[in-house]
Amino acid sequence: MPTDQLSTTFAALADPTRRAILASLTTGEKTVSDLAEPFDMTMPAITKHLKVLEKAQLIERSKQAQYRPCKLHPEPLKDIDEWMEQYRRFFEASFDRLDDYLTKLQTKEKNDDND
Amino acid sequence: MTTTKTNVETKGNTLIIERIFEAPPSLMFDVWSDCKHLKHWWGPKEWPMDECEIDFRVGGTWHFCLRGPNEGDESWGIAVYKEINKPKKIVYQDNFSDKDGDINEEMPGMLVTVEFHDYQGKTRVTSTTLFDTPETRKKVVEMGAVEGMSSSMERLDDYLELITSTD
Repeated sequence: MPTDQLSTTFAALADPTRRAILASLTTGEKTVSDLAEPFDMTMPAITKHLKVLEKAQLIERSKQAQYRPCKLHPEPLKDIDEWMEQYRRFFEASFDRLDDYLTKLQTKEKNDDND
Repeated sequence: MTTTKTNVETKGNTLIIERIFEAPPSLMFDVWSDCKHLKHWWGPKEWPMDECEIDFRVGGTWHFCLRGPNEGDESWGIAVYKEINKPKKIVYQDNFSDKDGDINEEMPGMLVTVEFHDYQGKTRVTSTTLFDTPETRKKVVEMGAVEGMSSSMERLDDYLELITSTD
């Protein structure tokens, strides 16, 4: 998995406003002013957040319509799931090594006892 | 030895991994809390832990580095011990960091609870990882992106086979 993409996704999600924007988009396409409404923020501030989300490919903005409505693009979030999966593999791979290590360690102990 | 005895469960943003090890809890506790032991097993074989520094006390840290097969592949992490109950339990907050131990705030943090239960002279280890970005995890679940957790077991077997065959 490309780590860069994952970092970008996490960075985009690290901000509560951006998470709220994404949550709002789960109900469908929205314009920038729709999205700005619940927040006490200027339009440029919201636009800045949208740019981060767009760069992280978490949203798509229509190029045709004048208002360029925003749409959710959840694909990168699947990478996060994949990341948890990697972490799980990390643990399992470590546990397998631990099994072997414990065998070695305890065999050595027994041999030392016999000396 | 390679039979997978691992039990995996996910609950929301929590990942629970359980496995029985052929050693008493006291030894399990030791191999989990000392660099001289951890260096032998922490991390996949291709990503061994090259550097490890532990100050084993509540509030103390575990700063480590895993290095991968390619030049420059490295991953630093820093954990802060939250609870130590010998030989039953270790709780630590784990974060990605740099080599100076400064946390990478952009990556998710993990609160890890490791418990050692006596099981007929062996130890049942339960590792519970709480990913500290609940909104993220919740979103993933809401969007139905969680799938293939069980089908990945086969991939895992292949993976383990791959890493153990390099001996």
